[in-house]
Amino acid sequence: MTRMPLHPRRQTNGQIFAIPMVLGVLSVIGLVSALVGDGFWDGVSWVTLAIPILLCGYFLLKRG
Amino acid sequence: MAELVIKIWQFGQLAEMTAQYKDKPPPAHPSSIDTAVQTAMKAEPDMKPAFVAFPGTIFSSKSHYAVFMRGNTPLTAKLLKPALIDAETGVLTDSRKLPWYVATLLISQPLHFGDYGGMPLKIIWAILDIITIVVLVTGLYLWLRRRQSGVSVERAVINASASDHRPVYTS
Repeated sequence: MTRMPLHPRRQTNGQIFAIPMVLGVLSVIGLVSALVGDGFWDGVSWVTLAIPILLCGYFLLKRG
Repeated sequence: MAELVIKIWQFGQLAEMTAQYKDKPPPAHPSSIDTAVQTAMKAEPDMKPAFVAFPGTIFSSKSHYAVFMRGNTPLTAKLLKPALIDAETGVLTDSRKLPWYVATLLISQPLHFGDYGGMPLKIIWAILDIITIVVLVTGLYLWLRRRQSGVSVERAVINASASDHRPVYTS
């Protein structure tokens, strides 16, 4: 179980959701580019959709 | 769902396009399909034929060959445009873009079959699916544990941390 400070720093909604919003926008770009394009656009989708996976892996390894 | 959308098109736009044939009997001496395809390709030089619907099927009227043309870019290859050819005379009678609700259905097809974006995207889908399943299963596990009386994650954590006198958050 992770120990946290008793009074965690208060964050505004903007601070909490800024990075999830960025990831969401990137995912949408990846989904649409794979659907409507070929070649270069497939590459765009691979990169943008791999970012959430890499972040998951990074934080999983960092915590464990 | 797909069938319903096609039905709506059949009774809407298709019925409108073939209104003048409503009371005609089905063609007694059908013209050549090959000629019908050639006529459709001449009318839409930038498109390729995808398939031909015979008269009396769900994709056509009872008096027409419907030559469904598709575009040649990744986006327009999914968008079909039927060219209606009179099956008796072989003349092109009408050709209109499919309405937005059929276009939406056609565009969404690769999302269901996953046949786009190549092998890397398929692997990415698989990994994202596994991550989603893990989140679902661990959430269910925590929820079920909570409901068992006597077994409380919070209490276990508090008891464990009581010995080292440090406040904890039980998130």
